[in-house]
Order: sequence, then C-alpha cells, then structure tokens
Amino acid sequence: MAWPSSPRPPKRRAGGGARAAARLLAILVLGAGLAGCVTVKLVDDYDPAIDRGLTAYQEATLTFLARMAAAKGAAATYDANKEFYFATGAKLDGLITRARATQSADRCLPADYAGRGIETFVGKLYDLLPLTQEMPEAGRIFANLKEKGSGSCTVVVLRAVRANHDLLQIIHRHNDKLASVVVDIVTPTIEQGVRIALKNELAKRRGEE
Amino acid sequence: MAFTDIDTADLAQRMLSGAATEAGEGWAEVSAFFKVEFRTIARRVKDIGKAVAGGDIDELTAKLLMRMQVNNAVAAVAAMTTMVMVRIERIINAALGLVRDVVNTALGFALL
Repeated sequence: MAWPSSPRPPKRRAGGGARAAARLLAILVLGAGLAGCVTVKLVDDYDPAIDRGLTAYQEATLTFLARMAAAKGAAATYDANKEFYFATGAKLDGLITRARATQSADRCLPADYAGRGIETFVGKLYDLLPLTQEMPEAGRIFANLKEKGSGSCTVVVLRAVRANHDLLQIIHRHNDKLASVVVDIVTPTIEQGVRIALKNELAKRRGEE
Repeated sequence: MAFTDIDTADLAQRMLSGAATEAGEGWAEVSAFFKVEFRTIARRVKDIGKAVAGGDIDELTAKLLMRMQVNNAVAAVAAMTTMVMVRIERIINAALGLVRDVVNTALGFALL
C-alpha cells in the first residue's frame, strides 16, 4: 500500500497576514472582555474647574494687555503692574496642581518628543543659547517645560500656558512697558495657548459632543 | 448559539470597520485642528520677524516671543494627543462592547 503523499500546504491568500492579525486582535479583545475589562480609560476626565479657570485667565490677561497698550507713563511700567503677573500666575499654578492630582499618566510622550524636536529645529534657525545666558530665569522656564515626567498631556498644555505667562512677564520687565507692537503679537499668542488648553479639556467630554 | 460558534473573523471585521470609521472622523478633527493652530503660529513668527526688521522690538524680546510660539506648538501636539487618545479609547470600548454582546448572545445570558 502506498503511503499517501504529504498534502501540499494551502496557498496563502493575499491579505492573509492582515486577516490573521485581525483575528488575533479579536481573540485578545475577547479575552479582555472575559477578564471583566469591559471599559478602558486612557485619558483623565473633563474638569469644569480647569475649563472655568482657563476662561477666567484669558479674560483677565486680555483685559490687562488692552490696558497696557493704552496706558501712558508710570501706569504702564512693569513695577506698577507686576502684581497682576503674580496673582494670575498663582491661579494657573492652581490649575496645574489640580490637573496633576487627577492625571491618568505622568507623561505626554508625543509632546515630549515634539518639544525636543521643535527646539532643535528652532535652535538651529535662531540661537536660543545666549538668551538663557542673558536671562537665567527664561532658561529655567525652558528646562521645566521639557523635563522628563512632565505630566499628562493636560498638565503639559497648562504648563505651556504658565510658561507663556512667565515669558510675558519677562518681556514686560525687560522693556519696562508693553508697546502696542508687542501687545499685537502677545495677545493672539496668549489667546491661542488658552484656546489649545480649552480644546484639550473639551476633547475629554466623552459623549457630550 | 454556543460559545464555540463565535466567528472571530466576523467579530474582527466588525471591530475593524468600527475602528476605521472612528479613526477617519477622528483624524479629520485632529487634522483640522493641526492646520489652524500651526498656521496661526506661522503667522506670529512672521509678525515677530517683521517687528525685528522694523526695529520695533529688540533681539531679546524677539527671542522671548519666539519661545512663546514654541510653547504653543508643544501644547498643540499635547492637545492633539489627547484628542487621538479619546478616539482610541472609544474604539477599544466599542470593541469591548461588541465582544460583550457577542459573548452574552452566544451564552444566552449576561456573563459580561
């Protein structure tokens, strides 16, 4: 009796790898479902306090900037207005602390890499090193924003708003007054930072679109 | 229907279709956000350059203003990450919900 010949291996269909991966995914998800993992949370919850805090910060800062653009003499100087920076900066710190307390991750990897990449790119075009030597506190702000374990994406966004607030303060102190040409650049910059932070917060309102 | 009758290929296809739809809508939103914010940053960079060239601001002020744009760019990436992660979360939870429905139907009672 002749041995039966070995069957030929079946021909592979095109896309077989993708189908196998999809089947494996289905099995894994099935397993996760059976393990009782029926919901997953990757991002912290929407926080109305952060939403309100950012809106209040924007209103206060844009009002301040409009006032500075119109102010004359001693009323426009940094010394006459530095209290604004301390008071509003402290409120931003409160929002950051709140975001840290509820964060679901302590890193925002894409932002970490983006920060390093953008800085390398900008650094090549525009030498930032003398800036940190002239103004050590500006250097500290840069270092803080890109330190490892800088917090969740919400924390990163809020720290960027805080960093820009500090930079505005430094600009005011350096120039003693905020000229209208500076206000014209800073106003949309601050607005943008707050808008981005609000967008980040509102994106977390799951199922409320 | 018995548990062993669950068609994992069909389940996978349904999950992938749901994910593709969610990803497509999500990407449109992220992409629109990216374009608006990075165009805004580009305009500010141009304004800073003009102000320096016109002698309206000194070099140090220009560098500080540039740094503010960099901070906004990093913040935009962080916000885009949040938007994407929320979408991924929805995709995973939708898939898990589908698994729950399929398993419970197969068993005839609510195991999950």
